[in-house]
Amino acid sequence: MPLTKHTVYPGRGLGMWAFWLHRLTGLGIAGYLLMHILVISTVVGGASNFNEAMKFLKAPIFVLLEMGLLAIILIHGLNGLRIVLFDLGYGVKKQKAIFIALMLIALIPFVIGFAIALPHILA
Amino acid sequence: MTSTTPQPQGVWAWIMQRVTAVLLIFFLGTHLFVLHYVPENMNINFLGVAARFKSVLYLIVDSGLLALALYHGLNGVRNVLFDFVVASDKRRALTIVLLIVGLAFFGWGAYALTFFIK
Repeated sequence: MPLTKHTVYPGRGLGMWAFWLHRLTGLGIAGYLLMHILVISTVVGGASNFNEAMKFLKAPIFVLLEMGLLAIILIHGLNGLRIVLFDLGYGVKKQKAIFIALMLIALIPFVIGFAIALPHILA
Repeated sequence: MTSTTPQPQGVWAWIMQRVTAVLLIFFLGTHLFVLHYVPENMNINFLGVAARFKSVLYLIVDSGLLALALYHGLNGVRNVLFDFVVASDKRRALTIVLLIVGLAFFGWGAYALTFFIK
């Protein structure tokens, strides 16, 4: 169906930031996914090829980048739950409070993940 | 226009984006937990992955995850691009390009996974 004008979210405030955050994190994760498939497929070149790739990616800089990845996956996943909730007809009127609550929930697995990763970042 | 309006990407693509979203929360959550929060799995190497792949369930979860994530991710890219590409012939071309990218990465990824089955 052809459209006559763009449909980019026209709002203001926290809901707008949630919308753009969802898009940016989504694009980031999609780019990571394609890279991830290529990295794992080093196994086609043999087990030692795969092990070398895994060893290379244990460098502190990559573990640090993985913390960014964990953060954007948690933001996208939990905000995605918020979008599905709205589409089912729940919570639209409390959208700001729901966004804040979900981001606070995201902090729990992030902090645990960060605690696990910290020794590898400082190594 | 609210986020609940199932246009312009098509009603089925819109529904499938939600269905895959909910499935991904479960499957990707499991994937991340098993690989990065369980201490004995954290040193990722060929033998460890091959050991996990002896489980049929794990194999189904992982190849399912490959398909789900690629569909959700590339359809999401399509949704974003559709806000900037309005002409229907260009949208069709874009959809075909993303479909080819998705199928190519699924084929290559699934092929690579078979190397872990020993």
